Amino acid sequence: MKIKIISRDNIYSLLQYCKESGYVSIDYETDDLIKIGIDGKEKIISFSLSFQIGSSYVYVFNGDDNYIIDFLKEIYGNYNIVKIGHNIKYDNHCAHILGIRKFRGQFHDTLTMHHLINCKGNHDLGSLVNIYIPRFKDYKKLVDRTNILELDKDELIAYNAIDSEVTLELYFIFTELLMEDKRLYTLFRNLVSPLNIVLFKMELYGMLIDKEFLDYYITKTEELIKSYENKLRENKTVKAFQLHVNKALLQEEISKLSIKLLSAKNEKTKNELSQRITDLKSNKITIEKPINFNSPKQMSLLLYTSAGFNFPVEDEYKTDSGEVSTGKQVLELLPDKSGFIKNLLIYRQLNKIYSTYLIGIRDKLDKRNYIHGKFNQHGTITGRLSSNDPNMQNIITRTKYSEIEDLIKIVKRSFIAPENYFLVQADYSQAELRLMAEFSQDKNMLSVFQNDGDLHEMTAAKMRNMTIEEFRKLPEDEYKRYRYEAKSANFGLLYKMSINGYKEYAKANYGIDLTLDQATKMVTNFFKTYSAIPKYHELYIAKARKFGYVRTLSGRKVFIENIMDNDNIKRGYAERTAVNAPIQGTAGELTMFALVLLNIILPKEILMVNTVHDSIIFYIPEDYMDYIKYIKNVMENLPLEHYFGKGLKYIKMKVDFEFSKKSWGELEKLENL
Amino acid sequence: MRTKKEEKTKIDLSIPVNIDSYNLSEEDCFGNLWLPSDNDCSLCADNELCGVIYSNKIKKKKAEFEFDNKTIDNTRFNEVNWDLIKKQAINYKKENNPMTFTELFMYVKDVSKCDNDVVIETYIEANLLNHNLCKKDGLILPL
Repeated sequence: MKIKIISRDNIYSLLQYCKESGYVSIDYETDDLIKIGIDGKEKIISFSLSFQIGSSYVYVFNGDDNYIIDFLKEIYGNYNIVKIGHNIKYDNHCAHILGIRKFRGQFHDTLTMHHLINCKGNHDLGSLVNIYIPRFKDYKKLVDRTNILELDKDELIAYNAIDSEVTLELYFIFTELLMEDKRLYTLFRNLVSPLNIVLFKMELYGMLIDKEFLDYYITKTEELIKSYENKLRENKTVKAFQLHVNKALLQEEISKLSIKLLSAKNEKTKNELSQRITDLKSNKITIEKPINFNSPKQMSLLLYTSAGFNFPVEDEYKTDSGEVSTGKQVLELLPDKSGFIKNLLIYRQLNKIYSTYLIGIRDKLDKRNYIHGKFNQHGTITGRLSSNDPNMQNIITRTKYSEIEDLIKIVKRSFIAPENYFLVQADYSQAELRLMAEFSQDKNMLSVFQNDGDLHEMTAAKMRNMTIEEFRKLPEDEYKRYRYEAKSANFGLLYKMSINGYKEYAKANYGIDLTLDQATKMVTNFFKTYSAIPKYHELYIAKARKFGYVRTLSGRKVFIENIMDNDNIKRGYAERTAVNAPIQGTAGELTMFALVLLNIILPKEILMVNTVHDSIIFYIPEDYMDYIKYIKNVMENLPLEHYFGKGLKYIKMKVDFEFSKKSWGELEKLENL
Repeated sequence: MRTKKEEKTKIDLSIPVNIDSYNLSEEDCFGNLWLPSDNDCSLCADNELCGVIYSNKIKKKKAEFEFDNKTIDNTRFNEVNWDLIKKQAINYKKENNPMTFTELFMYVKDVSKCDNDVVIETYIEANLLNHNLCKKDGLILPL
């Protein structure tokens, strides 16, 4: 591989070469990962560029970089040059920091390309190079061992050069692999590739946080955590256990000192050690190490030993390594007479809220108080988006514990609408249930959605052999209870669940306690009502067995491991994945495709700032609220058949809107659209 | 069976290679079977040159795909010049020859390289208002 340094002398020729090639892979080296909206140019050390296999051009930033920025503007703004990167969103953020504002044409990402080829594999550049381009094997180890800043200039140049060279090689390898499956390549060009730019913009905008409000609740939560910690310490058994721990610590300290005393040679030291041992024995000095309620090891001793609560240990409480779990699911099964377990669970949830949603968000804010979460196309096997740093899709909204309900609500309330904007949430209504109706073609399900009915009501009525009219005449509390039960069945049984599995699911997710008989009856009646669903399950399990993968509506392949395994647990999980992935993956694709089209169609004044599973969150200027009708139209009428060769034949997606002038936590339904 | 090139072809890969200057034989692996994960490929002295030639084939295949299939990542909606559209809508109205929706549609379709009529129509409708224009009786008029 030939490496050249970019300079004023060769930059014009290089631009012509890039234009002639039409393909350029770009890779930036940064000092640590850049923080969007926070870090500046100083974090970007160098970049490399390859327009042809076998060579790389490298530039190390030195302060006199204006001509380089102009060069990059030409590349990024040129529709006829395909920009290639590995995790190209990151490179685009670097380019944005450097002052690039026009991102035109195709942005192809070898990371998301590989995820399409093999959703189960490792997608990091080092792993892919080891598999596909072994002549550069292990070059990544150069920076595994050292910080990028510790590389000398020649090493840095060589390392950076290889990055863009291998990315370009991978690009052509992956393009060929994807083109072997026209559906996959079409999906890449119409969804995965254009979505890169949408997600880049979404990360760049971020969401506005009311920092003062957050700070106020950080202090409040600290107080609340302290008060729950006190409650835990005041428990009689905990007090006794603390004494036991203190005693053990005392014994341990005395033993340590006694050993030291034996080997001490100096008389003065001997006297000091003897005195300390005497003081410890006579309780003149005490040793106390407060119990750490966040330590699984200490909690295991407190909960399951005779010095503590001595709760009976069932086999199901044990983890694979044989240890007794102190996880939430096990704790909820313990006989909690003193209220300790409930307080412990609240204490843990408070700590989680504090570290993840309060401090975790505040510490990542930029100067304008915006939070910039990252969105990944390669985080799940179904292709659904994932988010991290922070996870914008997992902002807490619910708790089992009424004691902290108000605190939970403030998390979303800290996400506020900017001045003169509305925060609007567009949500595909019952997306997965509608898609199950489409995939299974179940007549009862289809009829509900085709007539804009209520599926939970229909399930509740059918499971009681009642007509909808009869069911609606039930007393209000019964109506509500049965509908709620039906909801748990609709969501729980959709994806092939055993009777026991459903019983546990209903308890854990809906707080519904069912006997085995009741659960059996519900499962039987559910599949009697929606008789095409078991056939859908069988069909997709058979597909997974035959091909090793199942496909979403748009053609994405989701590989299913262990579908032929003799181990019932492994095979059962694989079967549920085979059944779930086409529906969940398709639901994700609808939202992602809507993002792509809305990015084209909507005026730039309307900002898409977040997406959570089946919903998209917008900042819409007050004067632009009329545009919601276009958003609705696009989301409900996606041209799937035109772009992916397959569309929805039997059902229509429905989108509900909520809005607020204040915050994400204070949304109101938008009616009469 | 792949053949190994014994000597590296002396060519500067930091400038574009003129692919047409190579008389390639279909029976030779060179330029036809580039597969860098293959051992023989890894050892071949002309691996990179072979990759250049091979990548050119993939570029051609991709261009053929793009000719047959208009993809979303190839659309150019940013190229639609709304200032010009607005100016013309005003001028045409003054000249008593208002711009028709069909004319605007054809312009956007041509510039954006989008082949989906519904997407184009929705794009136009969503952007008319934003540029103080409206659609009335099939005509594009200033608000």
